Amino acid sequence: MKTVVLVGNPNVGKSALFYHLTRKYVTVSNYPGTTVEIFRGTANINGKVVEIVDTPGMYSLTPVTEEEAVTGRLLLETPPDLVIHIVDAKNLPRMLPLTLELLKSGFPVILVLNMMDEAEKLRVRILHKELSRRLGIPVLGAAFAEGRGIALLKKEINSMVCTRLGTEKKKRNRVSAFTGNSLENHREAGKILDGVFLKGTPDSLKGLEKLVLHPVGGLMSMALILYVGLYLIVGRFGAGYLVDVLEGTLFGQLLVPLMERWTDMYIPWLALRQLLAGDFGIMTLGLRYAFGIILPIVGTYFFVFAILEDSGYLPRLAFLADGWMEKVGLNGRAVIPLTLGFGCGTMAVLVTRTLESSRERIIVTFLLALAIPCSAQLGLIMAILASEPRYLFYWICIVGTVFLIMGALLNILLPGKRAPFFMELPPLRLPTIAAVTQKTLARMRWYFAEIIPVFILVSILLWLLGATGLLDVLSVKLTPVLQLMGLPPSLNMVFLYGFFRRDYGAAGLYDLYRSGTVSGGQLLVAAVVLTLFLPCLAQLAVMIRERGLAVSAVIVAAVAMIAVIAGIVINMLVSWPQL
Amino acid sequence: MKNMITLNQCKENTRGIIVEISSTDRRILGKMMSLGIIPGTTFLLLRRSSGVIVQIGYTKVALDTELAMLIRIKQTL
Repeated sequence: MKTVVLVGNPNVGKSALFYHLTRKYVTVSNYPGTTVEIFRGTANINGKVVEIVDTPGMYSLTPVTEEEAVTGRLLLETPPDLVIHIVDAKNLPRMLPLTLELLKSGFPVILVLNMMDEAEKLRVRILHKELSRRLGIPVLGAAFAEGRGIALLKKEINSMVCTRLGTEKKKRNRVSAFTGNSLENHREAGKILDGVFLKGTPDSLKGLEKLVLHPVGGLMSMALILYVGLYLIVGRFGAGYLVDVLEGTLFGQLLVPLMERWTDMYIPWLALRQLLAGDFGIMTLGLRYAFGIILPIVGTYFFVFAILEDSGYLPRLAFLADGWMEKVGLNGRAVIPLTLGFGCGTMAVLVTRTLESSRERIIVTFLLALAIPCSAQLGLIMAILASEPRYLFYWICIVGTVFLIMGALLNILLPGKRAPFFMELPPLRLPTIAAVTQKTLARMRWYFAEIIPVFILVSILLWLLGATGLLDVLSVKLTPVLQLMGLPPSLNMVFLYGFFRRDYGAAGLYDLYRSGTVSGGQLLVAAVVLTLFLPCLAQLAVMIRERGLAVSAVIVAAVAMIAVIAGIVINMLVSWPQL
Repeated sequence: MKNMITLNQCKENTRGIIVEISSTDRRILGKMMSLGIIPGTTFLLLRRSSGVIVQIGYTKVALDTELAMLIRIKQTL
């Protein structure tokens, strides 16, 4: 099968084109570095089946970040039959040098000028026929977000890949060709564009953008976004209202009693009955937690986050936060994996690839494992502590302090210094309902494909442990640790769940809170310890893959220790009568 | 040279020309180049706080002070 690789600077629309060609959805956002992996799919190009490869963005064939290197390696190791170089039309002057690099390395290239709609609004004119003549390759205008230019591109792909035979595959220059003089390419690009790229109206800061980038206005808009997005939508609506309806009414009053009655009637074996509908039953615990509690919270968070991503707000937040991140040895770029971590830590560890140095990747991985609760935890903790607003405030302060202290400590301990911060700020765009819905659903599908098997497995495991009496042994072992933190033994289970999945542990705590088993200061201690406590199994697996076993083991040991110490200290504080 | 300052010393809403980038780090040079920060290019400084935001062509680039200090510029207005 012929292979077509999509390349280009970060945030020019490669993934959007990938979707149009293959109908396979990969996350599309409005910030550089959304795609950190290579995705493959097949497309039917006017009757011919062709493999399409989506790549992480790159600025040049000589890479700086890990995600960029991925694309360079791919192009070298398996030279494709065609490279589609996608550029942001209005920024053609600084993107064309990559086209020249690709051409000089011997790849057959189609140049696609994407986001023509935005260029037109700015009255930028590009004479693409002349450009095509000067470059000697096809040049097409497009606006993938509105589906413009796709049909023409398909035709062009077809004539480039399907009609010409393999003989056209030129001998390529070797790796060294990749390091060609880029300043020279820039000069050359300038010459080629002379009289072809006509500038329009100049761009500057406007209304809303002025506000979000203002030192004070920026903080205020961030606070507003946190309040509306996290507290109102995820906390009150998702974790409050939706969980009440789904878990309380649908599962609690309808499905669970029904299951219990049904198994009582039809299943004569006690053991099997318990596996399905007992205390840790697949139906009564696993699916109830997954669909009743976690689904509404994670779903609302992904929705809010999708809006933020598509609006282009995150790179601006990165700029505002850069000064702060310096204190923990990071730069503003780290804001993106960290905010994604509030959705799902597993996803976020993967996105640390957009960071430049391994030092920063280790710090972020550590902080994600320790002090960033995932959305399900966050939503449930908000719901639990909402009854005691001051505890919610303490919780934020404590977790925030741990974040800062440990970040600062790592900054001192790890050799090297923070990488300089630079980032392109894409235009602020109004997110479309279709794109936001599509992304939210895609992420939820991914999330649930990941957790459902684990939930069922955990139910089976707990059931086995319970049946063999091992559960009691484990509980006895955990009880003294819990006692140190002033927590009742009933929380044993919560911590056991928490080890498998963070969201699961939080759901367990929520259950206990609802039944009135834990209260007051204990809730605060439990909430803090659960937040800090070990990352879940899925996150651990990604950590090991991305950071290696040794680093992950150290992180896990440190995180467990810090969580327990924090629990003991907070318990001492809340036990003081005056608090 | 007279009139020559670094980007982080530039006032908000002023224009200038990039004169040189005082670094020998190829990674930094390459990165700046790909963002359009090349000697001879004109820019508009949009924001200066803990870092700077400059408009170069149709690109807005955020840089921290450390990087901005490497960029020597001439103010035009």
